[in-house]
Amino acid sequence: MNAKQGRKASLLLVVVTMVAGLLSACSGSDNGNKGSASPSASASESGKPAGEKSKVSVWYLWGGAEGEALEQIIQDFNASQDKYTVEGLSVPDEQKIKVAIAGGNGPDLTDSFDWVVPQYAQQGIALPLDDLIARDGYDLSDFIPAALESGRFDDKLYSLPLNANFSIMYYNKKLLADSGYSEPPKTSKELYDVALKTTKVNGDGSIEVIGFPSYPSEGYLFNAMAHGFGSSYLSEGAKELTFNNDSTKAAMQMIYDYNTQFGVDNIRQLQAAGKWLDPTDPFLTGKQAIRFDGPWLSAHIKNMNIDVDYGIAPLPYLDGKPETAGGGLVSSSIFYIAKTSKNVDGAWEFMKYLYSPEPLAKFMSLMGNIPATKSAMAQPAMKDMVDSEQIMPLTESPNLKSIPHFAKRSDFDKLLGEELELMFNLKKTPDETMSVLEGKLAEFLK
Amino acid sequence: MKRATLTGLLFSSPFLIGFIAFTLYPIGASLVYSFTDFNMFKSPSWVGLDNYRWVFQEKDVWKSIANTLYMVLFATPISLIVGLLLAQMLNMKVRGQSIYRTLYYIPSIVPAIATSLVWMWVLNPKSGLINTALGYLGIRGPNWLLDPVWTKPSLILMGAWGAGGIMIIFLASLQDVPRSLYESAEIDGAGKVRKFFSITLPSISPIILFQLIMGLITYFQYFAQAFMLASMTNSGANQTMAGPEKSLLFYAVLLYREAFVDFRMGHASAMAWVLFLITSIVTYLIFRSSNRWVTYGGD
Amino acid sequence: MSSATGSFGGGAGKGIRRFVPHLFLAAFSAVFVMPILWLLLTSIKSDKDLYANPPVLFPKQPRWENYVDVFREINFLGMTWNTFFISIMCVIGVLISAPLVAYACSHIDWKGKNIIFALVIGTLLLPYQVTMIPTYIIWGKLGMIGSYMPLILPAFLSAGAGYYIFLLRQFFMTLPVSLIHSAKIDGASELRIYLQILMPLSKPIIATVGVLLFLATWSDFLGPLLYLNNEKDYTLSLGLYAFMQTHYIMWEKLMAASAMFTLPIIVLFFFAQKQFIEGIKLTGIKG
Repeated sequence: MNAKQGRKASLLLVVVTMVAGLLSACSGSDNGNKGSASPSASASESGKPAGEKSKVSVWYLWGGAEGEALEQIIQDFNASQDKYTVEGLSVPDEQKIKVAIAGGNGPDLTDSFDWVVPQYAQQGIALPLDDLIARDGYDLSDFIPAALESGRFDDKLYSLPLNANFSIMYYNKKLLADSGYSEPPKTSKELYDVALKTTKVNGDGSIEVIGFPSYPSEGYLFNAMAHGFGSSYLSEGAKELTFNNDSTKAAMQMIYDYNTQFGVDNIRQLQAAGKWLDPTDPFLTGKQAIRFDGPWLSAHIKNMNIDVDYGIAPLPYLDGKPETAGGGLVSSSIFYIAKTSKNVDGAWEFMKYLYSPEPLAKFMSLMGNIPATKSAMAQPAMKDMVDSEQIMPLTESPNLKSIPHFAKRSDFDKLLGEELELMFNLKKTPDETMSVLEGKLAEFLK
Repeated sequence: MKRATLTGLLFSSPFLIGFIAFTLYPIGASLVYSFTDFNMFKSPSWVGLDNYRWVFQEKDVWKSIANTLYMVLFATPISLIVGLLLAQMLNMKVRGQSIYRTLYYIPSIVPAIATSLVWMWVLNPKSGLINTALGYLGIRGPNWLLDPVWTKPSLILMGAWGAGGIMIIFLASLQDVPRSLYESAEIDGAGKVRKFFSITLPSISPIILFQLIMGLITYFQYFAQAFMLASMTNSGANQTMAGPEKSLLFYAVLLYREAFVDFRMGHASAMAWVLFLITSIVTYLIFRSSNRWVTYGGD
Repeated sequence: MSSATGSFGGGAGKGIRRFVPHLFLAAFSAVFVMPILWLLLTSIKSDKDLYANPPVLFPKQPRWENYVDVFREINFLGMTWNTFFISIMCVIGVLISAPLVAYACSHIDWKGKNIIFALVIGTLLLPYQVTMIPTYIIWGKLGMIGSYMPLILPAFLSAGAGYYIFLLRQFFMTLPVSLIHSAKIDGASELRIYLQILMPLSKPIIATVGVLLFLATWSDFLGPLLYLNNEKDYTLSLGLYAFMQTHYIMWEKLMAASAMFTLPIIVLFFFAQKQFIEGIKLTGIKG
């Protein structure tokens, strides 16, 4: 064919491609039939014509084994009733979820952490659940009160707590034994002694084994340590700042002293050497003697078949104050319904299912979390959770606290993190940091 | 003449439609948003100059300006110099140039995510390439990605590694410098260095100007790499995206955070306009100064 | 092709002098290539090699299955297609709309000629942040967030293509005006001149713009970050980022995926490099 025909033909081709392209661009996610299978589609429902069940989309932050645990629950739910099909999607980026909800293209149901409740309530991202609860006469008494409160803001309930998690102390038995300790530390003083003795330093100052729970970061351990020592940041109802107390000061001082002794650079180097909960995690490679983390660490260790001889104990209490033993900061993962959800009823039905004793226990035990309802905690499935015999008794301590909600919580957390970071980097002393915090944090309570 | 106008408009119509829809209207809208308190749910409410006041008073904004200026002032010239030097080297008549050119160019087209991942390793304080090499020389390398002092230099290294794009453009312009100029200089006895400074540089000065401006604009808007790096060096649900001691909080990152994390679109819009203002002023100043050092071809 | 030589030695020198430039080039390229080399080496390492202490450079037993695993664990095939689709559509869109306006700014004698070009340059200087939010809201109101429209439609209107319009226009300006004038005298319409004279002569620059645009879109991150929600629709950039965010970093697979992500680009460049160096030359940027 000559040039003119060739040109006409290619023009036609281009036009056709364009039109096809524009059409499929409009349909967006419908062209996703290439490649991946949707994990929760109920292929077993061969008798039902597609589209009869109403769709509920659930986006979640978890991935890997934890995501699969939720997918199991989703499959169970889909198989158990005829009205709704839940489609789960792992979206680890919380930004994405927020933006999607804000733009009206988000999921019906999604998860997050309790500290976002004030923010999401004010930004209008989460839907208040009170009407649904009243309509169905849903029984809230089964929830652990402290955990349930975490979903309340401005007298409305925006979320339900999945779990009541708090950090506990993991310790490497071998590393402690090598330094002469057959028992884990119980008090703050013992903690520091153990940390000093078990830390091994190389010739050039770099740290081979870190005795202190500074990994993944001092920021990660701070709240746990302070509350373990018996601190309480705010009075009830967030009326007053009680941050400045002996326990908090002791925690700050201890971190500061440790960092001064062993050098911030060296500690940072160790922190950069591995990723949290990865096989390169120092605790998992036997390079960290003491670690404060949530009960999921046990599940991770087992799932990844890591060989480390570890023990579990309650967080150390402040030396001289044994009445504060068993302290800790409780926080929860939550599920909330998106304000822009197009299927609120479906989302709510799935929520009720998820939070009923058996599914919740199954889900939480797979993840290595402590469920937030008493009946779930009593379920036999919880015995399957890794290390449950050691962890469950710790939940009964009266010294477990949670931080009450208030409107400017996220600004509070941000400032706390920033000022503490300066102290961790030895740019400010604990006293200087405390006076700054005392002044500024109170501002956020107004 | 009227027919020509019609034709001109017709040819420009796709562009004009796009311009109105995606440039003109958004410019107007964002200007309006900058005077309002707006999150995507509620309708905007007028707050006058409050957002601008916030921009000029908020500590985080100043920190982000400082961080951004750091990159603009250091990364731009370094990228240009590296690009130019590479182009010089690749302009030589040596065999296998196309292979070398590919090798130097590839890093600049490796997608940002892969670049960030690779450099996370290269800069790993314990077992990374650079610190291991320094170790052989008896130097203890810094904590590239966790030490607030070294996070931006890490980004500059990444930027220099990706100077291949700049290199290609310089290469093309180097090849355009007429041989006759060099030949007559050689006759006059000029050595290599003299030739470079007196002939090469002036001849390609328009390109340098162009690249300088594009580079500045790019670094004023620096986002992707910093965004990825900040989210990678954190564990858990940290949403400040700022890096160690806020050393990675760049203007564009803060703007994104204000808009899409904190949903304070009014703030973000005000920030965008301030950025526009700053970029325009700097570009104008550079153009003005260019009269003194740029020579256009054909003289 | 004859090229002006750089001011460092080179050319047919004698003896040692011949090797010096090679030395420079090789040394520097080692620096540049090292990170990529590591990327490739890591991509075939197994768990043991990856976490070995002290770290090993070469894998003891190369594990080529990593590349297969990538297809299983990340929706690599799907994402590749998505990325390819979006990139090609953008290239088509720009190649249709941009030369049109570039022509209007170069060879059509009308009042708006310079004004429009000024607008084009203006878009180059405008920070994207200014338009980012309202644009996002527009697409939200049209209900098209989560689809590919926000990423593709603007290309057909040359939105954000200012740089390419610039390149095209500069190129067109170097074409002999006489050619166009004589065609006009012969009574040809602007459209005919555009299609039958300009386009055939512009193959190099079109190729250049096509390649540059493809590269840029292939690696784009912010666009997909803002507008794509469903994992099935993700592009490779966004997909790799999302994948990395989950707890388990499977470095070896991530590196394998990155290698595959970059490979098409490398191949494209290797074959097209002469083309677009020529193209850039021909625009006479120095003008």
